[in-house]
Amino acid sequence: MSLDELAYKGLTNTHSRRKFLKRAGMVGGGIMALGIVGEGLSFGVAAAQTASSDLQTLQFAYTLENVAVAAYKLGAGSGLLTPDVVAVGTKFAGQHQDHANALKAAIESVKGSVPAVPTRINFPAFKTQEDILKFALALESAAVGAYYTSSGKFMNRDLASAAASIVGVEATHVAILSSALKMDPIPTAFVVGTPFDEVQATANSLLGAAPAGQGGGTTTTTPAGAPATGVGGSASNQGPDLTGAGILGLAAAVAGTAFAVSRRRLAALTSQDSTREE
Amino acid sequence: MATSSIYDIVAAPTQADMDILMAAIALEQKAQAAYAAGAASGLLDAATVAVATKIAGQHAEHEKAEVAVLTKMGGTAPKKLDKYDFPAFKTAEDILKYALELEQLATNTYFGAVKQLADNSLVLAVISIQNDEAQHVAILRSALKMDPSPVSFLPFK
Repeated sequence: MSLDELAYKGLTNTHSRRKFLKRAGMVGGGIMALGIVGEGLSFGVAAAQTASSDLQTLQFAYTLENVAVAAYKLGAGSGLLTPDVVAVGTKFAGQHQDHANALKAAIESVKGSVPAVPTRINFPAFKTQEDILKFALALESAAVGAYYTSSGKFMNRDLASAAASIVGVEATHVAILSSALKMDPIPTAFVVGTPFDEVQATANSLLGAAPAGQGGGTTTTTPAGAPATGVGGSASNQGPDLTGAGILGLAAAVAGTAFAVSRRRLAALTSQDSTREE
Repeated sequence: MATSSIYDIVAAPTQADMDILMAAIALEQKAQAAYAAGAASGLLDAATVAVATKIAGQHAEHEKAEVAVLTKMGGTAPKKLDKYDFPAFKTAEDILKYALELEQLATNTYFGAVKQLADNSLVLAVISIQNDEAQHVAILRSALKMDPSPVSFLPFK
């Protein structure tokens, strides 16, 4: 399942079909402990259903954060920025690094592969401070869009909450950079960032990857072994409801038969879920 | 064990969700009243009044959206209060600081709701509002010469 397919296209009724498809992707997930930890906050995920699509989303976010860190470092070293702007950029870079560290920990906690920190990024040629600020604004808006979209994709609400905790901070960056550029810092009451297909396009152009629909190249392409990574033995530890779930994997998620499976599983999960029924 | 997923399907609106929305609406109403009081105080310069009015308008948009959802769920929106017991503002800084407190509270409230809401269809809308409140925080902190982005992760402290 490509990120493109997962991209949020609006909360429409047809979305529910996609929800089922996404849900079905989860059958390979099994139970894994997953947490995003930052600044003393721990978004520990109890009994997380970690879909391989969730892992891909984390990997993509990790890469984006690293691109942001690199961009601010480049800006700071360019000689084009006033000391004040360098200070703000350095601060933002530090926050992106915090995000990257938290995401890395989360990826590692589910034994996912941590994407390499990108070393070759196709940054545009910067000639002025404004060039850099505009690029940073575009990058931050893309980050908001990426996390906003991710928040609607994660199979697990704790991950959505973790994404929300990050996206709110990226939104402050957007406002501050807009201010610095003499643009309206609060142009809209509902802040969703850049549409996800544009986020992918930006990632593709910066990272020099990848065929359409596979934004971010290797970081977001489904590796051949990815579904199996999540399947492991963990699914069999969940009890009889999930017996056999592991062999379905990601491929089944896009097959029509997965509908019935996911429906059954959904019912099973819901009935076990005393807290949500309260 | 809880298996909260954004994709859980909730058959009927829950009272808990409606309570979250009602609290959010009350907060949005209070914020609008606070900015109106600030704008009418004579303590703010014209540029700050303009920003306050703009922010108040966004809170009105949030309220409108939330009332629409709550009504659809079968709930009744709380009435606007006639009077709020705002502190006595003596300076522009007093007003900005009070507004900042409200905005940080609003941001943190929406952030908390992301985890609490049972109805997944509300989650993205709540995040989009959370982000807007966070931007208000950044602007107000800037205006107060405070670090505009004080945390790497929500909630604001």
